[in-house]
Amino acid sequence: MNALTLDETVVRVNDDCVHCGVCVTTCPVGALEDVEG
Amino acid sequence: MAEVQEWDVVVVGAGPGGSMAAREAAKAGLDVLMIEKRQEIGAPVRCGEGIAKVWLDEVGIAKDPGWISHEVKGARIVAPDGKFVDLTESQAGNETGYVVHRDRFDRTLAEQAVRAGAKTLLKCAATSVLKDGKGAVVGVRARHWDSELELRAPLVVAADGYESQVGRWAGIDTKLVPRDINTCLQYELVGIDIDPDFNEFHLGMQAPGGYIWIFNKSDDSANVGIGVNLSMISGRAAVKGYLDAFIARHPNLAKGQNVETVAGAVSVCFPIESTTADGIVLVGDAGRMVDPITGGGVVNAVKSGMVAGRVAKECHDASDFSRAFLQRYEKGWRELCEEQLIRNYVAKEKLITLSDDIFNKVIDALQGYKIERVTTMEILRMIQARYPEVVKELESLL
Repeated sequence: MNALTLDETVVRVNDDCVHCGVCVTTCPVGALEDVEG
Repeated sequence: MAEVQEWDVVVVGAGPGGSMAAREAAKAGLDVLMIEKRQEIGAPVRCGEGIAKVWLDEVGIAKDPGWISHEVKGARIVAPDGKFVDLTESQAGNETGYVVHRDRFDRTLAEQAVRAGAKTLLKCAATSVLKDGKGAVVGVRARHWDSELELRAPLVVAADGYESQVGRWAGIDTKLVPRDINTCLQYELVGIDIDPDFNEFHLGMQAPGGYIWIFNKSDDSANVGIGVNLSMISGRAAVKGYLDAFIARHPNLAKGQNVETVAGAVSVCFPIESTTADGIVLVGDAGRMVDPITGGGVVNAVKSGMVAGRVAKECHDASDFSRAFLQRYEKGWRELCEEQLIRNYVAKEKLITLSDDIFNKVIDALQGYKIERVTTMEILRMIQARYPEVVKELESLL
């Protein structure tokens, strides 16, 4: 649970991303592929 | 080389909390700069857009058809089995009365701040806080288009929302655990059949640890959204799955078309220990002031923002921006908001454990009663008469 924001961590998203800016580990639309940091 | 600017107050974030802080501080004669990382205040919207009416007058926000999308009479609380009870607007909490255009609402508040004398910089993102030799915050560094700015001010108001970083940079503990986060998704559906007089709140495991809302934006359109507790999610795109399944089960909604998708998260935590440090205050969502039951944050953002703006003037007059002096802010916002936050946190902790069966029984027991005419104890007696075991489950909510 260290991926609260796009600014602090490197995240990889797929085409489903709606760019809400809140990358929680369980993305509401399933766009979060990978989290570093 | 960063351009250096000197201000009395720098407000980070131009949402409702930031704009109210800027308005009050500017009204008191301070030089206020409000920065917003986005190019447009209020957009993109990340909100269910339901607000109550009663508090608007208290905080000096005139009702304006420009930002009111729709007016409702109350809230309909719907059990998993479809039975429901209707609450009047006054009983339904801080999210029922108007459904607004949040982008226009936020813009209106920012305009109030500007008319009071505050300056704004859009496309200006804070990148770190400036500290003096003793560790007190004395401004922020920011990127404005391709320029680096050093915005120096003896008081920073962090109104940077759920993802707030300014508070963390200042050393304030705003960490959340998954149980304290609800992740949300919403569609604005047009061409649907709804009861235009009632916003709906659907309870139960169709939205684990949260609820599904239908907030009417007109007679045939509504924000249909879901909040799910992060600790209760498993599986990829689970939140979208829950919402899509709910809509599919309701033909009156499934016939509509989506014109806007909104996603985000809200904190549903116990009030944090401190919202101040030397030279900085946190307001609204940045200070974790969201209602743990409804996920609504606008009212508390506005109220805390106003307190922050007024305390800024007191700090300025006393030339004291220490954390000790800023306890006036801490005390001020907690007097206005904290009791309800604590009460609703305790209730939320219980509610997320209740089964669909319990929700069905509670709503069933209240069928046929005029809720506005009875007290909480009477409601419990009604439930007890029919389902005594349920009252035991609800004891801790008292």
